[in-house]
Amino acid sequence: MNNILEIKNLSFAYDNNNLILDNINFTINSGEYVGIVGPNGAGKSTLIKIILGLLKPTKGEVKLLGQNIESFNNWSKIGYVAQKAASFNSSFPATVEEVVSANLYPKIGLFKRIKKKHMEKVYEVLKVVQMEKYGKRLIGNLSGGQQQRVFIARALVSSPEIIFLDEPTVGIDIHSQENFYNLLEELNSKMNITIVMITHDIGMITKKANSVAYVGGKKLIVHNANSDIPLSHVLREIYGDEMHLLHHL
Amino acid sequence: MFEILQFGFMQRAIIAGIIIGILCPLIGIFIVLRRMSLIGDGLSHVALSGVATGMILNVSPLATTLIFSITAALAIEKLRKTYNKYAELSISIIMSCGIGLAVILVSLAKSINFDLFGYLFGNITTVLPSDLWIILGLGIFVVISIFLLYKELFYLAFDEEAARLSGVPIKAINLFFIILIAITITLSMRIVGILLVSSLMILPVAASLQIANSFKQATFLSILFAEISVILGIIISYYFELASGGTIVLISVLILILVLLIKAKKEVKI
Repeated sequence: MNNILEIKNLSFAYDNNNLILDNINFTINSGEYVGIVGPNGAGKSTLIKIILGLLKPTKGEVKLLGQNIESFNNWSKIGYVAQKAASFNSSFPATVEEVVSANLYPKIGLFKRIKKKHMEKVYEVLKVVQMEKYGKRLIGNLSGGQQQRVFIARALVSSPEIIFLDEPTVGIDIHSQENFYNLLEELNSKMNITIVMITHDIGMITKKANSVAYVGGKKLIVHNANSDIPLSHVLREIYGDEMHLLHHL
Repeated sequence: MFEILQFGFMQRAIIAGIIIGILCPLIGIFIVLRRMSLIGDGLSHVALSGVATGMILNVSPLATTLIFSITAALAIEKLRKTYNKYAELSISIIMSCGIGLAVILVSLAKSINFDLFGYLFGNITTVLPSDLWIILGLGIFVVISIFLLYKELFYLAFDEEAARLSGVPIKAINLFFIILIAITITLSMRIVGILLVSSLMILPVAASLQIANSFKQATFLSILFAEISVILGIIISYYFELASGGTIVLISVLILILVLLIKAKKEVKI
């Protein structure tokens, strides 16, 4: 398997005295499904922002698809789904097809118009997320779960190799969350898309993901089926002694 | 009614009005949706300094205003990076600077025959033949630019972070867009007036957002409402000898009220 993401000796501080991440090493292989969990303020979203080049690390190196993030330009291979509430203005007058096609714009190129073949691609990915009937509907008129499906479609439309999701199930009802996790599982297993998801739902992510990266106390500890250390030890290390893991029924 | 078209100044006012009726909402829809509404006010206050400078130097106020507005737009963009956590602060700084400079320059220009009222609130008789060519040329440039960058500007307005991550060159487009705002404000000041130009960028958009079912429809309706306001405004201001800017803006307000009432009536029926 190829390394799709490689982080070496990464440290990050918002200012000189406030070290958030200290000397982190982390690798993700093509086709993996990785969860990133940890307490609030531990640096999960900061880590994703560094990986995507939105923040510069204080020290260390990030390579995405073999390319250094500072000179990275293969953005069509990267999908990103942000927290619903933070990502858009729900009264924005945009239809589902307008939102999804937006991620094709860099591929289409500056000064060029959307063609029929691009719209066919839009409806193809809307079908994958079972939202093809909603193409002409305003995004603000959909439920939270439907909106997140549209944002997954937007990430999928440029045929990415990896999708990053930052707490995508916040504010979504339990039933829609279940469907959402099933959809991610399908994208990972059937379309071989690498999934990297920040979540607080440790119970669900330990069931679904191949491995889980625990971020806390400035460290990152990866745990998976092959790990020698028991999960309970990792959780104590990251969350402290009060942490107990409860699985969904 | 068509008798007004026999006057050269009215022909120029109507042609300039039609262009401005396209430009203001076309720029305005992106300004409103990106929550940058204050920028129109900020740049228009700087535009007044440009007008006064043109008068003092005895050169075309349209040219000096264009230079002042574009410089101010670039300064806003630069300050936006310095105060990246308080984006609106950059507009307030430039607006204060613009008003201060304008007050001094207007007081210096007092002795010159200076139609301050016309520049502040719009005067249809002030569109000179040379102005019309500038409005026509730069107006077409702005419309074509927006048309060519329409999809990227849409993505920036909807979700700037996602646009950046998909590979849209946001820095270059932001810079170019702010220059287009400065050009639009300069071209609109003869008809709508410096103090009311941002209203024509915002009110038709506010009305269209109430009823639009897509971004394309919102853009089309904003232009339609602005054109109705501008053309009716110019005609009414001619017959009743009113300031054209005020008349145009009040018609825009009436359209907004009408749209809100129709929408409320429809919602009650449902």
